[in-house]
Amino acid sequence: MKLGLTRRILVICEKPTAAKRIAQALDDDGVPEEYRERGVPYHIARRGSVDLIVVSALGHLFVVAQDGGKWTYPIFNHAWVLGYEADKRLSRTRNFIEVIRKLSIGVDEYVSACDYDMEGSLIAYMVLLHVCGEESVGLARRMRYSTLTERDLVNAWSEMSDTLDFPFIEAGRSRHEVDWLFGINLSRALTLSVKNATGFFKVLSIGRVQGPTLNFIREREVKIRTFVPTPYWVLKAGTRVDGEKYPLEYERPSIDNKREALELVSACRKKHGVVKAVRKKRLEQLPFPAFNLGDLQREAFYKFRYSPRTTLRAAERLYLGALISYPRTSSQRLPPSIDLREILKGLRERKEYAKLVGVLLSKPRLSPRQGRKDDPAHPAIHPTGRLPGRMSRSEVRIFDLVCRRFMAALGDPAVRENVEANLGVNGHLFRLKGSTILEKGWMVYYEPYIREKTVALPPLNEGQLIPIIDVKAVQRFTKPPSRYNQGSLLKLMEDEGIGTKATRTEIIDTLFKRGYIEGSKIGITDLGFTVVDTLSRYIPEILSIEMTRELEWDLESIQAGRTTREAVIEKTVEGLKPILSEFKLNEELIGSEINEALRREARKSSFLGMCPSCETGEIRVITNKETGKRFAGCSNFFKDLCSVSYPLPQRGIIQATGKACSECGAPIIKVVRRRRRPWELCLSFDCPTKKRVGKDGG
Amino acid sequence: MEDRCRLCGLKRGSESEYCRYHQIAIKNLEVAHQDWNKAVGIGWLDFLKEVMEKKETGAWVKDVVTVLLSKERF
Repeated sequence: MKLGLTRRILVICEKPTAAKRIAQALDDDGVPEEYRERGVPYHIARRGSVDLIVVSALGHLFVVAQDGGKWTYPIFNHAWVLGYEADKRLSRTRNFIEVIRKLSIGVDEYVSACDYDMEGSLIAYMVLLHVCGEESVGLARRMRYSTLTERDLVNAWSEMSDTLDFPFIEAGRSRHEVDWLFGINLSRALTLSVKNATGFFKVLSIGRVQGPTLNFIREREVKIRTFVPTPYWVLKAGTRVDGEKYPLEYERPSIDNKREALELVSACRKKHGVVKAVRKKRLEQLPFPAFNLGDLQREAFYKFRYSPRTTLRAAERLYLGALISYPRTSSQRLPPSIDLREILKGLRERKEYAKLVGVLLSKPRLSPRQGRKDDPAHPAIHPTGRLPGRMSRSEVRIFDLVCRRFMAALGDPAVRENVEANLGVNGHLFRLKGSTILEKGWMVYYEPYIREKTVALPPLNEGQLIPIIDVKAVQRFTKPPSRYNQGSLLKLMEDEGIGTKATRTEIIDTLFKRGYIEGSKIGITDLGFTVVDTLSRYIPEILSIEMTRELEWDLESIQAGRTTREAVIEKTVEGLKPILSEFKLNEELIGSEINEALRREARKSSFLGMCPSCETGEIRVITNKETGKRFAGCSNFFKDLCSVSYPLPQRGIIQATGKACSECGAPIIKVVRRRRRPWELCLSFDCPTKKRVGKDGG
Repeated sequence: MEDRCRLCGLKRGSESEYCRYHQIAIKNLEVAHQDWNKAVGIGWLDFLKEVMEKKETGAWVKDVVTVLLSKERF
C-alpha cells in the first residue's frame, strides 16, 4: 500500500461489493488500487489531493449481548460486543475488524458510506466507536445515496453531511436493544419453563413481533378449523345475441333458500328479457406507482411465487450491481431529483424495452404516478439505467418487474369502457356486463404482468327483447377464510404496523425456522399453536399488537427527536418486568403444556407409517445413541413383538408420505435434500420394485 | 386427564367436556344448522352427515360431528 503525505480519509462501507463500487466512483481515474489482507478486500482511491481508504464491514460487526450473569431471566444488563465473540456464525467478521483497526491508524477523517438507513448508519457508527476509537465519531461525516451509480456516489460525496446521522443511529441502536430485551427474556422464559417443568431442554423463541404475527396465524387457523359451510344458490343464466352467447348476472349474488332458488328458475326459464336501460361509462385507470419493498415482494410472490426473502436477496444483488435503487424503502414516489430521461435512455439500449422507452421519451413531460407512501431516506425502487450483464433467473425476473413498473408509472392512464344493460325478466332483474379497453396507456409497459378480462357487448337498444337461456340454480357452499401466504402475511404485518420493511421478512423466516408454521399456504404447527395458545391464556400482553405498535411509535419518535433512547429502553424494561413476573408465576403450567406439544411434534415427525409385518406397530425414525446414525424401526420392537427395521438415508430430511408400497407394503418416504429435487422411495431394501429397477435399468 | 378435552387432550374448563376450540366448533354447528334448516329444511342428524362430507368443514368441527354421530348411532 503506497500512501503519500496527503490527507487520508477512511471510508467505511457496508459490504465488499459496495466498497468496490464506491472506490471506483470516487477515484479520479476510476481505477483504485485494490488490496487484500487476511481475506479482507480494501481499496485506495485518489481524489484530488486526498487518499481515500475504502474498506467494508460485513453487515453488523457488533451485536447486543448479555453483560455478565447467568443463563436465566429476567435479564436487563446488556452491552454491544464483538459479533464473532457472541455468535459463531459471525466468525468471518474478526478479520474485517482487525483490518479496519489497522487501516484506521493515522487517518485524518472518516466517512460513513454504508447504505443510507438505520442499519447502515449503525454499522458504521459501531465500527467507528469500537474499532477506530471514540474520537473518530466526531471526525466522521455521512454519505447519503440511493443508488450505487457513479453519478449518485460522486454527488453524495460532494454533498456529504458534516456529522454522522445521530437520530438514525440512536433509533437503530434502540431497535436492536429493545428487540434483544424482548427476545432474550421471552425466549429464555419459554425455554426455561419447559426445562423447569419437565427437565427437557429445547431452545424456544418468541419476540415482540414474532408473537403477534404468530397470533394472527393462530386466529385464522381457529376460524378454518371451526368453520361449518352453509349452502346457498347462485342463479346462472345466459343470453344469445347475434349468435353469440353472453353470461347474465342475477340482481342478487346469492339466494339462501333452495325453494326460492327453484321458483326463480321456473319464473325465468324459457322467457325473454326486455332491455330496460343501457349504461356506458368511460373510466380512466391510473398506472400503479413504482414499487416500494413490500409491493415488490408481494408482486413477485403472486407472479413468480418467490418468497419475500428470495425477492429481497435478488433486489439487493441488483442494487449492489448498481442496476436498481436501494430496495429497502417504503416510498412509492419518484422525486423530481431523479433524472427520469437519463434512466430511460439507459434502458433504451435493452432490446426488449427499446420501443416502449422510445414512446416515453417522445413525451414532452414525464410525470410519474406518485403513490401515497413516502420514505424520507429513499425514493421508490427504480432502475438506474445501467444495463445488466449476466444475471440469475430471479434477478432477471425482479429486474424486469422493476423496469416495467417504473415505465408503467410514467405511462398515460388506460381508458376502459364499461357497459351494463339491465334486463327485466318476468319481474326479475338480470345484468349483462361488458368491459373493453379503449386505450391501453400504461398497460403496454406492464403487459406481461396484467391479466385483463374484456367482454365486448353487441349494440343493445332499450325495449329490445332477448332470449334468456340456460337458467339454473347452482348450489354452492360458503368457504372458510384462506390461509395466509407469505405475500398476504407480509401485507397484514404492514397494515397492522408491526415490524419494519427491513425486519418483516426475517420474522416470517424465523417462524418457519422455529417450526411454528409450515407450508406455502401457511399453516400453524402443533408446537406453534400450543406456544401462542398457552401464552394467550397466561400472558396475553406478549401477543398484543398495541404494545408492539406503541414500541414502533417510540422508536420512530427517537428518529424524529421526540424522545431519547434511554427513555425508550427504560420504558421497555418497566413494561417487561410485570410480564416476566407473570411468566415466573405460571412457569410450570406453561412449561408442561408446551412440553406436551413438543412431544406430539416429535412423535409426528418420527412417524413414517404403519408396520407391514405386525400391522399394529408404527414405523418410526430412531437414532442410534452410540453411532448417531438413524434407521427406521417398528415401535413394537420395545415390546418384543416385532423386529422389523429398515436403513435410512443419512442425509436430508425424511418425511412421511402417508403411502405404502404397492409391492411390499412398507411405508414410502420422501427424502428432501438441499439443492436437490425431493424423491420418494420405498423403505424396504429388498423391495421387488428396487430389484426391477436394478435389473432393467441399472 | 379429567380436566382435558375428550377430543384433543387440551386443557378445558370445568363447565364443558371440550376445550374452548371444540366448544366454538359446537356453537358454530348449532348456528349453521339453523341456516341449513332455513335453506333446505334438514334435521339435525342428516345435517351432521352432510357437514361431515363437505371438504370445507373444519377439522375440529369434524371431530365434534364424529362424536355426535356415534352418540346418535348407539
